[in-house]
Amino acid sequence: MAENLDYLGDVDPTAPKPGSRDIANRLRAAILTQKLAPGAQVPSQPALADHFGVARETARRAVDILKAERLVITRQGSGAYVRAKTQRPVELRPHIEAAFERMHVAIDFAGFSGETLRDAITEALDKVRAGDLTPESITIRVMISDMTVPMALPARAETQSDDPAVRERANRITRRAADSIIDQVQELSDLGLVRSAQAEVRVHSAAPLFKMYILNGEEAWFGFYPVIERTVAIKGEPTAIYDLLGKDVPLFHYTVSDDSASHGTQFVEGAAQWFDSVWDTITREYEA
Amino acid sequence: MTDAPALAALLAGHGPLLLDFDGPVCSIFAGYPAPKVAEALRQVLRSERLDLGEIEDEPDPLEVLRWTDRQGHSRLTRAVEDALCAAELVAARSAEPTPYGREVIVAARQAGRPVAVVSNNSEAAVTAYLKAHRLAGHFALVVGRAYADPDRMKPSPEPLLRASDALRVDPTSCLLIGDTVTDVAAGVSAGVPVLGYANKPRKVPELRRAGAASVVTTMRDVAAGLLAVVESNN
Repeated sequence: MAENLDYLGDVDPTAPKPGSRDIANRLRAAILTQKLAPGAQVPSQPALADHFGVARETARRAVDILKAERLVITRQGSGAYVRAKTQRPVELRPHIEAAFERMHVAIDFAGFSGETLRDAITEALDKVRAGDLTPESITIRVMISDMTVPMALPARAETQSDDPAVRERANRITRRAADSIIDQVQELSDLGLVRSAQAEVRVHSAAPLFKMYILNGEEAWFGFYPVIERTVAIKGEPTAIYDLLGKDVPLFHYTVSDDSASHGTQFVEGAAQWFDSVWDTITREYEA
Repeated sequence: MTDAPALAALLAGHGPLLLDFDGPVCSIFAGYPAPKVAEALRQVLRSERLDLGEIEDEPDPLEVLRWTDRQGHSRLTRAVEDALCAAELVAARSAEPTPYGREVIVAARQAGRPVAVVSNNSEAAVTAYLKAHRLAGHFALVVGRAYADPDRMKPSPEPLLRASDALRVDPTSCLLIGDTVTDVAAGVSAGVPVLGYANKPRKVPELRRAGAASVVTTMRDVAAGLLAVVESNN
């Protein structure tokens, strides 16, 4: 029974044979437009090879590309499936872990505290310790707001003003994450498992309004911090504060592609330039 | 002072939190004192050549409105009502937030309770205050004073029943926080339990006698109690 693969577009028999990347692009478009629904089975490699008139190996590589992008998952013996819940915020954590599969790992984070980053690298570093991942170098840069100086956010809600007591609470949260990242990477370095492992944290005086991750210069993740009001106990005093909602916000994912004019490529390049420009100018050393 | 177990039980409920406005949320007449407003209302009456005998020294503008209504001239009641609405709007601009009032409102939302105002002040003045203090988004409903019909103000149960109706809940599932005997009386006849907020020590026995289920002397106790509920939900 031949599958109907019309949603993957026409194939011009007179044009050069499509490569694995072309086929991956067609599949990706079908997934993102939900022509291939979350949870649906991805056409089999023979079906793809037949449809595009290519070798099965080419079809397999196309599916591998989507696997690497976490758009599809494979189940032993039963083929590839569209990852369920692609409409939900894409999950960053598996991507950070995947970033450690490289020979040279470079992760930049800008935002409030790096709690998500800390949790993700804990797992990746465990794999490095266990010898399952063997990067040669790890360079992590963390750029966060300095909660020891006045900030527009977090703030006391009634007056919309900076409050040292409110910041002290935020400072504890940021320090906990930053210190843990530094400690973990330092431990790897001390163990000599990685030729060069360093984590550098720098702080600035701008309020945290968004977060961004840049992984190996190839992909960027961007999320807004919505401002929420909540009552918290600060030194035992119920206090209404404007705070940032950091967890469970959707992250937008951009990846570098072969096309230098693509939206993804331009975003990642712009993000990297922005990061370096701030890092090199208005940041100062973080005292662990 | 506080009856802690009774307070905790009241705050553990899930129904809407109904707040009286002047008292639990703010002092609406902090910058434009109530006696001055009452005097402004008397000016309206004086221009009508009324004998103001018993309200000549009345400091409470709402009492002036009630008295006017009892005179039985609806045109006069409307004139005083309009003047009061205008004065309340002015007063709302210089109203003083009640300590921990904001914390209570926000913590109630965290605890999953809808929050509404049920006030004898005008809806326009309440809404203006809430907007100016960036609180409006926390409120599911504002029930203000019925226009030129002071008999329908608290202690009448009507405003509370209007609120529970609009929120589609049973009155008994709500909790009213009020600082006057009038609030407690309205709650008792509507079947809404009342948490008394005694912002003056003399009010503690008054509110208790009127039938408040519990009495606090600071909204801090309410905020802390709600935070404890939030904690236990997590």
